[in-house]
Amino acid sequence: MPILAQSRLTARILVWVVVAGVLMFSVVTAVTVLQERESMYQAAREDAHRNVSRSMAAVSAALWSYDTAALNATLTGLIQSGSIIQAEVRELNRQVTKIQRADLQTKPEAQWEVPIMRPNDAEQIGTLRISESYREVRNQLARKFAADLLSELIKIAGLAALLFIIIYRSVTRHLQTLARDVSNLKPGSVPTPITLQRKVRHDELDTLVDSINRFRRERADVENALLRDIAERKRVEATLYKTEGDLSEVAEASRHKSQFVANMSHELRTPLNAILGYIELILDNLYGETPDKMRKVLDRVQQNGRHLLGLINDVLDLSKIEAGKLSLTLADFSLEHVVHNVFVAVEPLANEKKLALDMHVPPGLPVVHGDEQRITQVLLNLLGNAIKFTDTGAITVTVATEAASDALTIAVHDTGRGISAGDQRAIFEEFRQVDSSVTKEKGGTGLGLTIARRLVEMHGGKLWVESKLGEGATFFVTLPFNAKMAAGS
Amino acid sequence: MGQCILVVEDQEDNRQILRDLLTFSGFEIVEATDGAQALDAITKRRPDLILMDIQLPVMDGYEATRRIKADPATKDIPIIVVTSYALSGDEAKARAVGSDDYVAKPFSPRVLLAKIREYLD
Repeated sequence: MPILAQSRLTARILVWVVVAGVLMFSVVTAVTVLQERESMYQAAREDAHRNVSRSMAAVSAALWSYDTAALNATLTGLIQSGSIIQAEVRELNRQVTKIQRADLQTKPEAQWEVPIMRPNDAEQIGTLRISESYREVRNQLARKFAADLLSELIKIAGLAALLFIIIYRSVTRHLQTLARDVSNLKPGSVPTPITLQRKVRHDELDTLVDSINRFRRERADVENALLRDIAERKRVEATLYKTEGDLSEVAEASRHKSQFVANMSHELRTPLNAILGYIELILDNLYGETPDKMRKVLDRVQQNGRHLLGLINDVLDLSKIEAGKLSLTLADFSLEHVVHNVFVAVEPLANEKKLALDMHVPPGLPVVHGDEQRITQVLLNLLGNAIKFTDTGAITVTVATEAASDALTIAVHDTGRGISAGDQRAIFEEFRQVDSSVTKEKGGTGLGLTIARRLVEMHGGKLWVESKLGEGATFFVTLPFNAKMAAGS
Repeated sequence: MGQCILVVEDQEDNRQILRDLLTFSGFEIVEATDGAQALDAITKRRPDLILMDIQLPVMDGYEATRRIKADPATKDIPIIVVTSYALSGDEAKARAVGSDDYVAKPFSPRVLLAKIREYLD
């Protein structure tokens, strides 16, 4: 029965119902039958006595007249049914006749005697001995018990079938629907709410269905949110990859450009070096006495040539930094020595403008690990700028160590015109000076600070300015004592 | 007879400038345009000083310097390496191969002459 195989729960309930029913009804029937046994025995005995007393007149007449045939016929009538299995007629101590059932096998269970009186007289002429057996009664009881039990069983079976139909219709099939619907849930599918084909509402099943529907809806919401999230993430990733690709192409192109500029600058410098070399030889009278008029022009040619060379060198430096081609040559060096060298180099310029140059270097400065040449370049640039943009006063260089951060600070202070807040950012950008008139007046490429900042950053340090208009400016350089190679960054 | 300087330089203009400068200053010069030629020239005539450019065809200045300094017969000849400004770390490399001194391009002929005179007196 496939429907039962699918409704194991129902089947189990039915088995219990049947077992309990059979047990219960068996006990009830057994008790009933036991109660009925006594009264049935009683009825059988009374029946026997009644039959005997009804036959007594015929027995008496037959015995009086010694009509044995009539006597036997009467006794045979007695044993035909009921509990009487044997009837014996005695006269004094002599047996007259004895009739018993042909199939008599059981022993008599009770025996009693009735005196036979002379017809129409009170004189006893004989005795009727009756033997009874209740086997028939017991058989009857057993048949009744079996019949009762059978009818109960049929009732129980009917009840079970009814129960099965009720349970199946009202519970099992809905549970099966629920199981099917729940197990068919696919991730990302839009759930159609489960509805049961039933008229009854608002019971435990509906509560269950509501809970499942709510759960499915919430699960679907969460799933959809997750799926959307994943899709979004994939989209972002795809965009990101594309952007990365684009960016790396841009970076690559930028590197190529920087490489080109680096090569170009190098090519430009070679003939320029030759030009400057020849001019110097001419000015040194190597090719004969140079007339003063020509010397003045050659001086201008030399100045412009040097400016051009400076520009090319700066462009070369910057493009090399940007192409990641500029690497630091790291070694231990004495910062005091570097500061001193820079001072010696810029002293003539300061003297020319009658500016004081002060240097404060604390004694016992630790050895610095970095690119000595590049640090020199940075300090030359800062001091060169300070002298260039200061007309009166002093340039002060202060070196301080910061034990806490394993770094040192170099401050280059001037008493120049100062730099406005807006210009403080601009001066670190390529080819930017405070204004173009300054370039004409003071010279310079506008690349020096950009390069200086990049060089300091390559050392893992920082370069910034603090200034107010009219109050001079201080350029700060922090340098770690031990520069890690950060080239190309 | 003045002291002899070997100028190793592949560019004609630079050779011309050095030739004019050094001859004017009373030196005798021998010219080579690459490292291999320089080694060749040394075997023909031992110079008193060598001006060695770095970027050279055939054999570059580092290799030529390393070989000259490795040979016991020529290792005493002072070598001034002329480094290219464009290549950072040239100075360290120049020292590593055993050069005595270096001048960074662009050099002023006057400064170069002063440096040469430190080694030749």
